Amino acid sequence: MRLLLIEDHQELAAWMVKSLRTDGFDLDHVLDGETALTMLQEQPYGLILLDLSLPGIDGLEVLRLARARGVGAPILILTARTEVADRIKGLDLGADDYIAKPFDLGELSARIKAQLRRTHGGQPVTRFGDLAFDSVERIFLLRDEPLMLSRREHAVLEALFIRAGRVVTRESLLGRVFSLDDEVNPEAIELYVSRVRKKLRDGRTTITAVRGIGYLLESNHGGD
Amino acid sequence: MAATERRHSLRRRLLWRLTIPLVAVGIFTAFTSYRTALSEANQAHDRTLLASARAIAERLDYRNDRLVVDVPYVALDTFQVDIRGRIFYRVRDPAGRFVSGDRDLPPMPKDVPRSDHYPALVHFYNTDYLGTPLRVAALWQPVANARDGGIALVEVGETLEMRDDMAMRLLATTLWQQALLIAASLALIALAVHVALRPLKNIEATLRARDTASLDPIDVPELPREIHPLLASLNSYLDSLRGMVSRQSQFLDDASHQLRTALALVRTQADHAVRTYQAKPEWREIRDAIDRTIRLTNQLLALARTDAKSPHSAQGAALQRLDLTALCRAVSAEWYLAARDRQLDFGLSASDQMHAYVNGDESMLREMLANVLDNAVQYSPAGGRVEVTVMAGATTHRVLVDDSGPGIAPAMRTKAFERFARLGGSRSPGSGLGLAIVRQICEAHGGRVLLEDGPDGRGLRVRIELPAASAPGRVSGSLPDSR
Repeated sequence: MRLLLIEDHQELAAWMVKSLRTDGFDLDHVLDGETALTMLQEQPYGLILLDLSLPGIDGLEVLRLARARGVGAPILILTARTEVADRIKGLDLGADDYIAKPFDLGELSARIKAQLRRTHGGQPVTRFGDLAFDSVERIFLLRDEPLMLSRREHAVLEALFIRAGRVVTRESLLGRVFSLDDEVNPEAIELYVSRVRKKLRDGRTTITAVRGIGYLLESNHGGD
Repeated sequence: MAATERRHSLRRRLLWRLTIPLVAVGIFTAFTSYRTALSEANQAHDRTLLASARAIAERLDYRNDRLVVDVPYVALDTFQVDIRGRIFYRVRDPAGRFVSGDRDLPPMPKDVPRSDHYPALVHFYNTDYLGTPLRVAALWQPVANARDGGIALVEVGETLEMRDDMAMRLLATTLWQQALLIAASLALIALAVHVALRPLKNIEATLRARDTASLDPIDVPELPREIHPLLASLNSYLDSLRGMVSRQSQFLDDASHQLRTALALVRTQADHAVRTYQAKPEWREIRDAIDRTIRLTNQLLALARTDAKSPHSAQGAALQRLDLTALCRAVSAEWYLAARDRQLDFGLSASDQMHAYVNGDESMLREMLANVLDNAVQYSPAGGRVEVTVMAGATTHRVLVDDSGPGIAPAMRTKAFERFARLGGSRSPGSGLGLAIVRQICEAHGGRVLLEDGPDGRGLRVRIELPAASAPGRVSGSLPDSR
């Protein structure tokens, strides 16, 4: 799948393209919003990296128009502005994540992967360590063997899988696993996590509990 | 407090300036009207005295060539309405011989002027008789018989008790009336001053109700013409200040955008170089140096932004209701991997039963917590411990961040909050802005931050206290809760 980078700073864009290609991403780069919108009509992209300060059509407007024209790909906002208002507006307009400049390429790469895992990036199977998710069958595979999970266990693992390599707080785990009208007991999360952990057995992919904070899905042999 | 007491009050000044002349005029008119009334009263008394003298004079008669007088009781009684007064009289014939009455009444002084008020030849004067002051009317009455003629002298004196009584009564009445008049005028003046100064009160109330940090124009309805220019110039001042603040904030936005974009480029280039030439440690060092520059830039921008923003946040517009526990967890989650890289025992403890809601700006509070955690992780030695504790309270929520670093000596703790503070010389890895940012953000949220000894006397405890947000109509109680 291809990514589209919309960034008006030519030099920065060139280096980003160079680095992200090294990471195995295939991407096109455009300098302004109008070209970007045309490109989005012509071919489907797996993910869009959008700078907010663009000449002509502003980044937030590009975002709004893209969503209005039915672009469903995850959109990751890149910006040198840190105003929380911009961020909230961006997320309201349908952006999926937000990364502030200057960023770490490893971090950017991880965020892109997380978004692709979440939306499967057009791929039927996404992987993290020895764990994989089959988006067609909607099942997890551990070393290519289907993993039998209850509905709640599946939700817990999915929430951790999407943000693999980062600590997921109890609050966001609760929000993803239980809907508002469930009778939620915060301790229940611990129960589901321990069940999932057991099912992952002694694989390369483990769930680390972070005391009082949340959980982290990580791959013990590095690299995801 | 002392300064405001020294400041004069317009109301008090107006009241004094109106009251003092009013009282002075009141006293003067009281005095003159008393004087006038007294002289009128004296004339009336004198007239009665004269009437008595005339009544006696009409009774003068010659009998056997001797002047005699038959003084009727009524003559003396006419004006002896008051038992307090006593009447004396004496009649002398033209030759000056005593005819009747009180023989030893003192003689009329030489220089008594003739009274012009009456056609008759009469003198009024004051004298002393038997130790009592006396008012005397001396009437020259022509008398005649066949052989003889001349002018007899009829003197009638009266003691002054009655006049004194009357004077006292007049004085009392005058004073009473004047006092009443002054009191009524003062009440009206006070009322008028109060009404006239009401617009100032309105301005005061408007200013008091308004947020101190607001730069919006001040609008007070029904403003008198005299005060309007004052408010107009205040508003034009606010207007130019608003322009200045917005230009400054625009500059900050532009500068931060330019700086961050430039840094993003170098950072990306260095990152690429590190990946490409992994064997060369120089690239790693360059990238680390760039990271420190990025951190410093972000901190400086955060400081400038809180400076520019703190008046804003007080206004409540940019504030959201946030759960401090969730926020601490989210920020701690981001620091966990860095802490684990340094082999730190890193954790958070909070009561899940109580939410710790605050009103705050999320990005500012995140920046605050990130700075505290950054310090805690940086200063704790490998194998150490960093513990975040969130304690929800009724009015204040507390966040404690304990580390096992070298701590800060009590004497240095105040200095630690200063910008670019360097405490431990070259030991400190930071820019010296972290705690300054923490304090600034904390104070912008109406809270405070303290540095203390760590829990077992080692390390540093950063204690952050933020005011609790009030419950939003107890909505949370109606939601399906955990139990």
